[in-house]
Amino acid sequence: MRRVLRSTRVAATALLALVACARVAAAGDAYDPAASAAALFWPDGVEERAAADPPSLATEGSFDTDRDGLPRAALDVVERLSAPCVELRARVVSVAPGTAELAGFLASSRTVLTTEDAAALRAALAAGGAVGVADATACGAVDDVLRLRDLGARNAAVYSDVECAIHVATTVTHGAHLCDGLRLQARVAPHDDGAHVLAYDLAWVGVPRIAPAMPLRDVARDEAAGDACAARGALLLAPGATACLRFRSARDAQRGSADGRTLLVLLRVVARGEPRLPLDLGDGWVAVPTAALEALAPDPLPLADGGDDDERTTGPADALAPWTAPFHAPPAGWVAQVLGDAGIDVAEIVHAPRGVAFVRTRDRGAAHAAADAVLAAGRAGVVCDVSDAAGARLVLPGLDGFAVSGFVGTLRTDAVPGELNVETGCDDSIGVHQWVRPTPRGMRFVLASAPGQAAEIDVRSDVETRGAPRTLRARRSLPGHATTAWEDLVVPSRTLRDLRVRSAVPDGACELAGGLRVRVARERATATPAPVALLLGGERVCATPGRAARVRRIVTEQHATELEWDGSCGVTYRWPQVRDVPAGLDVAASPGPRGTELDVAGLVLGAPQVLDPAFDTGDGVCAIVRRPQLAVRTTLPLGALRRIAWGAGLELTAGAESAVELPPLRTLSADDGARAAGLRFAGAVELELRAGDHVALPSQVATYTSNHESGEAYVVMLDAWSGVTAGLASDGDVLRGDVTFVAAAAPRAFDVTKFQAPARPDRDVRLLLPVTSAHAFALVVPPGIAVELRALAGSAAGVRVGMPRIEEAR
Amino acid sequence: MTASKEFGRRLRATCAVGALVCAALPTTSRADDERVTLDATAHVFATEHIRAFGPTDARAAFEDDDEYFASASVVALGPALERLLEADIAVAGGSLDAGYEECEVTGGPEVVELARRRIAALRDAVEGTATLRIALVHLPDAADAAHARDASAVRAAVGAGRARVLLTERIVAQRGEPVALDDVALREFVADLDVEVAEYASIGDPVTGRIATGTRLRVLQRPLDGTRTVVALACQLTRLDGVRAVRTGAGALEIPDTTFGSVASTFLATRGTTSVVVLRHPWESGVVAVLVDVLALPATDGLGARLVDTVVLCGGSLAEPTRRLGLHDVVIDDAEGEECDPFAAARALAKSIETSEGGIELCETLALVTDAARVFGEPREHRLVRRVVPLEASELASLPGWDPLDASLPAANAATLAARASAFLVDVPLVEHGAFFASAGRTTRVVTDVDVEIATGASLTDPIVLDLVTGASCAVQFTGGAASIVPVATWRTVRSTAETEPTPIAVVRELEGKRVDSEPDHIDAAERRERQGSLVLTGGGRIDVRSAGDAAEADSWSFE
Repeated sequence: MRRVLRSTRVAATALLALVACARVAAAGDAYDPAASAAALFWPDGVEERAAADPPSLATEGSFDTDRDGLPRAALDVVERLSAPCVELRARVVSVAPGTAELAGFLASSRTVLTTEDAAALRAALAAGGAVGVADATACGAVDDVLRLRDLGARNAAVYSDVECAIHVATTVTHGAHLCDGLRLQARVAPHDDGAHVLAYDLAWVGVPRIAPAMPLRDVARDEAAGDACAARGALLLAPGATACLRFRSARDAQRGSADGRTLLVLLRVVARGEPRLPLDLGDGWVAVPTAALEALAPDPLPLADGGDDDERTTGPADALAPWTAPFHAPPAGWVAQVLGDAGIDVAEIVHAPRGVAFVRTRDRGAAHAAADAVLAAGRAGVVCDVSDAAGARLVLPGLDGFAVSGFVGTLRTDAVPGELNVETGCDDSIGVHQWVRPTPRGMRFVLASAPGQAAEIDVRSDVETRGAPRTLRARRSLPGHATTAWEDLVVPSRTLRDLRVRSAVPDGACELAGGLRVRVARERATATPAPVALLLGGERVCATPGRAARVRRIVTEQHATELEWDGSCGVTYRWPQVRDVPAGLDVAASPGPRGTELDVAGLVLGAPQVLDPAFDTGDGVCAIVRRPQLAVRTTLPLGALRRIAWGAGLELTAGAESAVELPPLRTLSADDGARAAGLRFAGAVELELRAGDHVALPSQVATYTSNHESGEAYVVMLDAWSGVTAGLASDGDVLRGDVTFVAAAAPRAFDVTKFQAPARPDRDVRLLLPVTSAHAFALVVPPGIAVELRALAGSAAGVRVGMPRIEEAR
Repeated sequence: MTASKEFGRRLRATCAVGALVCAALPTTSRADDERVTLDATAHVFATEHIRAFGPTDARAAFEDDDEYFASASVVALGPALERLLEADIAVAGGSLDAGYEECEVTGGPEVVELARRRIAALRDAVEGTATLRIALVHLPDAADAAHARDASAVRAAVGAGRARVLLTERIVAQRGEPVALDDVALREFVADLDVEVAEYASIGDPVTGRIATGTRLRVLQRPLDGTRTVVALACQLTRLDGVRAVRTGAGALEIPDTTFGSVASTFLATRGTTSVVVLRHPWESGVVAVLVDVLALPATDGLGARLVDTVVLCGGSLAEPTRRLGLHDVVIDDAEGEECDPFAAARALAKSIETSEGGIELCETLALVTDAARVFGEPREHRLVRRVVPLEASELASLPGWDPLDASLPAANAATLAARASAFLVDVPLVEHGAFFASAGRTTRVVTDVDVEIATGASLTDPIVLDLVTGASCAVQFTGGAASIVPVATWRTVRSTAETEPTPIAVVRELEGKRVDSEPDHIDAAERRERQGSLVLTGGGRIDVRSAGDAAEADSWSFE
């Protein structure tokens, strides 16, 4: 047994599952490439300010090194690079579908225009199939942030707000600025032979279509939608070359079809006499450009960093941690690594602003070899071509070792159902308002590749399906009124399908989960370790040793699972809040560094089961939703094909289909009667699982007292859980561990009389009280024995834990 | 900074020699020596703030006129005198005890007289004023406009009655203090509604604004030596096109529409010559020429050292006119405008001179040095010309070298396009490190949103009114280090439209549980298109082509 199993692991697993579940519900990303486009669409938010201040190329304080040791020529290099010497020109061209002149180019993945491509584009522009829609020019020094803008803005009345006071409520539709056009920020650094490395961060939004939206409580508003794309990355541009970033939205807001126009963003850098690097500075010093290689690194994939077995903090569990993580690779370390890999003995490296490293070696020959090594490491280009089943496509250039990220889709000023809100004043003044925010719908990705490593990609593709508006019942309570006044609120509905995939990408094209296609073309072949092919929950992905592959496939529906209230003197208003209820799976697997084991973590969220009819608490109507879930974490031996299946539909196949499947494994199972969780294994094994249901019940009464006559009691939802948690381990024969199970809740209705303020009649509210039993066991199970655990009260719920002998398994 | 180090090294060497000379001199005192306390102060204006006069601020520009006349501040000359006079007084057989605002001189009558002369010369240099003659001339004829940069041609046109003098004044200005010249008409209008509500009562209280239309000029100078001064000049012409009445739920508003054009530049003016700034007239044909003559400058000799304005010597600090005169506000809501101290570099230089043991810091941006011109170099002056040529899309394709994938034309087309330009937009002198800014367009105001104010039994919507500017602005800044100084033009164009039919918005008002009708409210469906970028100005001209839909225009820059 590799580790001593501790009961705390069970709790950790449970916590992991809860956190993961909450994360699924929140659907929040640490870094979202779409935020840039969203900020452009609605620039009043903080996102724009954050996006307007991209990280500096130069390392903070990197010039603190004693400069007296540098030759005078080094300071001259920085001085010259400080003068404006580069111009960036950008032009956005919109290409109509079926433009014959550009058919060949659009079918390719080229990101640098050839002479033929440029001629075809000129012909398309002349014929009208392509139209220039934005252009701008900016100049500056090396390492300056160059800002280009070609923006439009228009007013639209897109959201409503309400103000209440005594006797009066006023709801008004507000105007907001919606932007369209191009915003590009870039940094340019010289490379060698007159080439430049261009770090780019752009966002583009098409002219938003504004249409009347569903009125809420008689307050009409507009709804806006615009095609959008965003991209970050770095690319290498030869003198006079024109780079081309390509976008095609499958969710074209204008046409609602998948054959929308393709946008080409053309970028060209014009040098104005900057010094070429490397420069021989004498005494073994050379100047080499590094800033480009530290450029605007978008958040790449989080990397597992190993660590002590018992205390390790990475692995598959961290694959369920934030989808992307900050990039912390130190530039100095990178340069030292490149030079060390090239066998160069470096005496000193000094980083300067303006993207230059001064490298001193033992002799002039070694100095130039060092410069060449750094330049060579940053010379390999990567083309990232990502498309999804719906037809959205992005083709972005990148540099080997650095991430590119992008988003393509639409932005909508959605009225998200869960954000319905109410304002109350005194004496029957109630207003309902609905916040609106720009919500990206489409495909976003981050692709990162380390030199000598397989590229890895995070893709998120979400599709919105809108359903018919739903009617929710809200209640208003007034002083002196004998009866409750009910009101119908009509809110929009939606279903969100969210597919996220993290996978290693073998060089060349591959198809990932959900019809996502990824093509990574490198200018230079790299000796990458063979990724392990995995089938996670039926989706194809790949993983390299030490790094995790992950599939998250979630369908989110809305249910009125919570009751919200607002009150002022003499009046209360109680209304159902619509919350996202996710269903699907989130599973990650990571081959160990030795390639002999596979760490797996998974979470399955079953389809929500809505009890019918909805429960009337007396002051509100809420849905009772049962949400099954299974969370599992374990380590498997890996050698050839493995097929593992747990209950609740979580499956894992590791290894190529053509590989010889290893002999059948023994199966360890733990179930609570309704949901089985099984694991097949060969020898030492660990298993942490949590399988059960979550139900939010109106189970508690809280009180509210205003400064006037409106003492109120209201019902609060509580989360009840039932099922089994297990932390089990076997070193080959004996199974040890802890098991806890909680019998399924049998809710019992309970009436509570509300003794209210004198001016108001007493009323009853109804609660649903969960009745459960919980049991915990410490187990030692010999081989061939199955242990069945059951609640003492004779409940049907129970747990059966067993491990067959090897011969039985065969 | 390297240059200042070199300068400090030289000053240290000079002082070391001076110290040796002083040590070798006899220091005997005489019976007829007298002890005299002399005033060691100078008085200068210290206007730290001057009102901006972009379209946004025009209506309020005259509300705080007293800010133009900030009280004089005292400059203590004592610390400077100690180093300036100590060696000379010692040579003359006297001694000096310099305080902060006074100094005590001990010695014979000739020693006291020497001290009086030096203090007076220093005070004159610090307090001294320059006399400038300014004239704004409108040249409506194209033929005259083409030669507007030639002062004699402008004077000839005035003499021949082909030009109209808009404004002329003789001004006396202290170093670094702006002088305002205005010929404007002021008009009040209902700019906004200040909504107030109480129990069962509400009102939209009209807030009046004031708009100034006409000609406005700001001049600021900093003497370089006895014959030259660096002049920062800003000029704006504004016309009121009309005032429209607009109804809102809270009451009636008035919307003024204006047309404006402005220019600001920093140049080197020499006594005896005329500097000319030219801009296209914003609404009439022809151009406006601003003629600047230097009639007198303060004397700076007789000090035994050179008086140096460190603002002049600091690259980038001459962005001062656009900041202090507020012209950067001409195009509204420039979110990227940074608040910074334009004098920080000048102060740092003055401080570094002071700490170099040979130089003497005076009042923040003024210093005494021995050979500033040789150490810091002479400012060079250029002439900046900008033209815009409207083009048809088909014309673009016919131009040689036109690349539809690029946003610029080869410089070879500069001459072709410049020849087609009927008139330039601006033609200004510009000193290296100086600042240039120009803007032209139209302004209006739009209702972009409404707020709600509410109280017991009463509520009222509150319109949110913002300025909407349509126009173009551009600025030139010099950047680079000691190895290279490169002019960069940053430009910005804003095209705005406010639809004539505003969009009504929903306002639902419930009073005591019943719906009540509200006055109709609206927001203006305003659209704004903004393009922004920058380019390097190289000698011989640069062509940047901007297209918007089917129309295109070539923006031609000439930097001589």
